[in-house]
Amino acid sequence: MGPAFQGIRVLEICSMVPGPFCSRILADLGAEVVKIEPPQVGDESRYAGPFPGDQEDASSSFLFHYLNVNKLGITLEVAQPEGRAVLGELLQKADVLVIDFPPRDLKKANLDLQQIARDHASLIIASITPFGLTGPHADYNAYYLNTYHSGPDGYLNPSGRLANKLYPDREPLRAGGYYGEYQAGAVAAVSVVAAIYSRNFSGKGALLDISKQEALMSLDPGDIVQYANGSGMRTRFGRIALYLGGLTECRDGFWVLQLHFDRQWEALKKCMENPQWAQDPRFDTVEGRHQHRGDLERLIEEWARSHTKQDIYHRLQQAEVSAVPVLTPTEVLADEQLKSREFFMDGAMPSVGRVPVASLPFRPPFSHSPAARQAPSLGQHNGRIYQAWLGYPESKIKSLEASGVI
Amino acid sequence: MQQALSGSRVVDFGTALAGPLVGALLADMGAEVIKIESKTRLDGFRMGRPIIGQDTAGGDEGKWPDLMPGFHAVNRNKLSVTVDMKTPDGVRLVKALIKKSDVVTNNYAPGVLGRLGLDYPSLAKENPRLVMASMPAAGLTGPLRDMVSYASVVAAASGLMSMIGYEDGEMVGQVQGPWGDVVASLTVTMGIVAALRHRHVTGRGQFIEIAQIEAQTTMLGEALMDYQMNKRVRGPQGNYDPNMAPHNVYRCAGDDRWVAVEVATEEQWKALCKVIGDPDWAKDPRFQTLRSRGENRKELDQRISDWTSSRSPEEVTELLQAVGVAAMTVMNVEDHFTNPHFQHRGFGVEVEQPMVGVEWLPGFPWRMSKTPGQVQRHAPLLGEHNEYVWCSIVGLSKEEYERLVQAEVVK
Repeated sequence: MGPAFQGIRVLEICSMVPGPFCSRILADLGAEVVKIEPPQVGDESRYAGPFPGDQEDASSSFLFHYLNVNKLGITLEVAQPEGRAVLGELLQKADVLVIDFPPRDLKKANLDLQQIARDHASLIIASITPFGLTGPHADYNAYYLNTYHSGPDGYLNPSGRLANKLYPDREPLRAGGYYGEYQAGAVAAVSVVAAIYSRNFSGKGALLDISKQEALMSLDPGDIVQYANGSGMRTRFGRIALYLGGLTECRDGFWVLQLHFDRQWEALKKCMENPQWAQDPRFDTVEGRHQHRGDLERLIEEWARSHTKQDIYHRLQQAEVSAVPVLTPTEVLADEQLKSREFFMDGAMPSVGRVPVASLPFRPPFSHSPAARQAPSLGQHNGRIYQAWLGYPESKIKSLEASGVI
Repeated sequence: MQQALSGSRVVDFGTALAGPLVGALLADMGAEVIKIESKTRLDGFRMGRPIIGQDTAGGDEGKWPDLMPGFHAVNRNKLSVTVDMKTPDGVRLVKALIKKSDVVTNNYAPGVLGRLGLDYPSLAKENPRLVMASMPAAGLTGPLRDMVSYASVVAAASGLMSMIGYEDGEMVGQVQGPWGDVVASLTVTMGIVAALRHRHVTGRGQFIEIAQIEAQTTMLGEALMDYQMNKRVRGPQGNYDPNMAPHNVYRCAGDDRWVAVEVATEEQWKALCKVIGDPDWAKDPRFQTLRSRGENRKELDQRISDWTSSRSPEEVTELLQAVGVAAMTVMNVEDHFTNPHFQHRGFGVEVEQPMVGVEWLPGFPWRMSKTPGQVQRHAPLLGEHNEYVWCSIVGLSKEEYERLVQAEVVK
């Protein structure tokens, strides 16, 4: 069986994380993805790092390579008239356009998405912007903190027992890495695969308007629906986790416990060898445990301090209690579970050599491949794409290069 | 209106968040999604308890399974049936329904459906076009396949949790938001639609499995490559970004009010300085390049805070955005409802729910020009569509249906 999206052609005009992650997913699913970068400069993520040995080198950014494996790369100055004409020809041959220009930049580049949709009736256009294509914030400049912190969780991160105790007065934090950005890219990918499927029957394309902020809000609606429907507002100080436990210290680090039900509490007691304190009737019911959670969590932590995280992990999981050690990325890479599932593909980078590249998490049958195609160098596939897609002779490609269009 | 997945039928065994969100996205796109429920083992999201101790008080009067807004948000547009799968008749009914469906989705632990004879090979024998998806925490194979887990456990195991914390402190230990669930749901949804397309081309269904931990780890790819190749554990980075300075969340006037400001270019830095009145400190050589601003970020952040702390986040946002500097209010839920942008976009939808009246639900994560996803139906009451599903879709006679209700197979 061939990959699900073989034969689908995707053009990507995006930088950094969300758009490139969206089309990386499509590439892993078998689509032919052509990444269009501005000549000379390329995608910003080429400069963002992290870099091997912290040596800044636009050819070896891990961020760029992770997000752009399995793609082909060309250069094109889409904002100038000649380049715009070439883009028009490429769009004739494409099934999907993923673009992350906000309205202001679309206008500057003389790109009108509505018009492109009218001109190419079967084209699927996915627009990914911080706040959407319409509304008073549509042209706001925003990077990842701005969008994450205007979403459902930015204000509340961190909250919870430890954060409130240790950092009562500190600023809200991002989610780690480019997390919200990746999520927006995944949302875009879902919308694109649905549009491709739908086109099988309707023959029609679609213009998909993805606001990163809305994408985050619609996926984590818990606090928003509670507030909207009269349950009041949670502040990060009033907020405690809905479960007992959370981040807990142990002999050699941290682990996380998430405790909800009576049966889990009974099992946990047994794992701790039924200490005297656990027989306290205050802890006998869900309500009692919540009411006295401070004491309970402190006592569980005291027990955990004399055990290692691996010991706690295996002992509690055996008893069907939800507990897991907090793994650093190094430990994730060494994790037996991920290894046994061949989660990391074999990738290669210029001047670096072999690197592990996280695969899409689908298990059989589509997409899983043991090796990734190296991310393209700037303009690497100009000859191939301009010739194969558009039939340009070598002389024309040379003259476009000379005039800086590609 | 014809929608992207109109004409597809989905049997949704999901509970809590990760599973039901898959069905909700498919239903938003037009699929007929039938939620399989049981009155004896309710979906936890229908309950005020035991998950939230305090929220049970006003909820009861015998109808509380139908009152929780959080449940309504992730079960919008679905149908609900109640069936006792511990009885052979109950399993037979569900099998008959799956035979007439396109997709089965679930977030059970490995083996649960198999013990009921609802494993993919058995189901596919009856319905080779069936697409089925499972989303166990650690996957269906490997030494940890039976791991018991919820969202925070997934965050701990994926590596995400270890990256969240202040630069000068330890990790803070709670990932705000159930991202483990959400990311898994997105991945499963795209897998299901991709498999439907594959079926359209080949005529054959397939089984898809995704591990929630792996789905989350795919969003940390560059960090993992960094750790692997540079052999180091960086630990929490706060809001620091080596490519932007200033780059942080700054205190504003008011009670726990904040603004996020990110400066990527020298042009933006100069524009910011101008807005704050070109103070003398900004002329210090230490603040003239991105690198040196980053190196001196502690002092820089203090200076920026001095300016923001006497202004509202909205004022800071407006002043800085007017000159092209990325700034945005750190929004709490109240802000989401008062913000003019949201009003303009019409993000939320109001849905009439028979038990609670008109209810606000969040909209769809993307706008589709030609086949818009819509909230067309309130989240189902428990067992609301038993008769429709078991008689009209599965084809039970009225008498047989009544018999199964009497026997508490349908209950």
